[in-house]
Amino acid sequence: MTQVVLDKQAIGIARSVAFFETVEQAYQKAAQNFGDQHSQYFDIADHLICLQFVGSALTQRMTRAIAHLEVPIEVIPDGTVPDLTICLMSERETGCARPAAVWEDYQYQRRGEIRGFVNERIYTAMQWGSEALVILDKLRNLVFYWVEDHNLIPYWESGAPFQSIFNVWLGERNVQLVHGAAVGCENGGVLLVGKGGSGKSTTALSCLNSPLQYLSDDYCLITPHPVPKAFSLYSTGKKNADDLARLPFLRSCMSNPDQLDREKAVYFIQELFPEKILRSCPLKATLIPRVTGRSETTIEETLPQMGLAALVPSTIMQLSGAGKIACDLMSQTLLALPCYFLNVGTDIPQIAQVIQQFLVEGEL
Amino acid sequence: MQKIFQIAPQVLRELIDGEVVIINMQSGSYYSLMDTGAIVWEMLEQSWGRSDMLDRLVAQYDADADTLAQSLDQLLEQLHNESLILVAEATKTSIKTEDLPQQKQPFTPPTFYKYDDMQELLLVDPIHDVDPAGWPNLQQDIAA
Repeated sequence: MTQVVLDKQAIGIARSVAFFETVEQAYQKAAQNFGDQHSQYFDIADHLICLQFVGSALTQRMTRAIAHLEVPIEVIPDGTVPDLTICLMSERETGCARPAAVWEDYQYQRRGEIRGFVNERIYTAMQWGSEALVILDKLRNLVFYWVEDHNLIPYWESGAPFQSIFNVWLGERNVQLVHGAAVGCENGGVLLVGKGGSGKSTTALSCLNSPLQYLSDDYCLITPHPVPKAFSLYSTGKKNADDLARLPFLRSCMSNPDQLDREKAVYFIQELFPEKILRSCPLKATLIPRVTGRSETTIEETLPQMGLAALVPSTIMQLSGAGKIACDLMSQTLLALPCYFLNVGTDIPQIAQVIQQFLVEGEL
Repeated sequence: MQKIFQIAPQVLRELIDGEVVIINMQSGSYYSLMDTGAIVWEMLEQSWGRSDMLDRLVAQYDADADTLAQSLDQLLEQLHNESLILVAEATKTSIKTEDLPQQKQPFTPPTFYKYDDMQELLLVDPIHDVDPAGWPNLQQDIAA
């Protein structure tokens, strides 16, 4: 029985590697034919990531949200090998079609994984929305992202690109992508956890108007080793259109004011408040925002397990590829931190003041 | 005596848009319960016994007791097999007749999905529309 399982796994890996190589050959041929290629480098949680573009249609769409993490090519020593390389292609721009799928309809899964093509070596998924093929070879640290039409990449993907890749690849390096916000200063910050509507974005964005700095309002990276730490990933801020009045200083800064009937208001914080972005900080506590309707903001201690319960389900549900590694990293990080409810008041400036006081005066 | 159930300690759960999202922290597997399944989970959260749960379903849904009992038992067995609930024994019922729903509604069987990258699924997702090359059809209504 065990041998049968092993054989099945080996066949699955061989089939996945064969498809990866088919995609790689098609990409190389297409890149050669189209010509126009360029690369950009990014520091993602202390890992050097290279984005290789064929053409220019995807460049702005896929880098605007991570521009604050770009590493100028001039500072990269000759001969440096990136930790991960992501090769991007738009069929509409280059005229080069990706290879035909070698799986059946039913193998497409809810979060985008393609059943039978996800294993310890290869991760294959569809990015729902843009319908991009995403295929990662973990052994070679090489990814292909191949979209049929770059015009159909939705705003939420441009605002938070490569989620599944970062989730799977960084997870194996003890860094976990989580559905959480983070604010603080270089000496220490807080992770804000909770499902949509709990007050994470309002709290994080309100800190832009305070001495505190901003790492993220929706997704960030965390690691438990050697001490709990958060890394900024996307510099985008998002708010529901009907909630904009609470953050009037952002009213004139949104990137999509004419599309609020169908999109959240999106802010590219790097372009608006570059000095406010903090790329990483040690974590001192987990905060669970909850909107109270009262004027004042208060902090109330609770168990670390409450923070875990507020973070894990929405993270696992949203992020393709999230499984046991993700659960372990979130547990290790959050169970090592004190946890508090942040009773978010209607006096917006006071929210950041309370967090700052909390960090400075150090009940921690 | 009737069987009662407890949520296993390694389980985290959250109600998101009418769907109960369940995570087994030991295995990393993620589950989804909808329709009647979400109602059953709500009763499990309150440590209702199996008999009480069936009484509630009979009072709430327009279906015969045998059908409801079969659906309930099948779901409880799946949840138990996935180590999401623990079985105990109880000596008395925990609900009162006046707590039961007064109006019946159409019965939709529980839907229970397991999402696990590396393992087989209990049920698969709905089939997506694909083009002749096997790729999902683009959603033309999504504007960039």
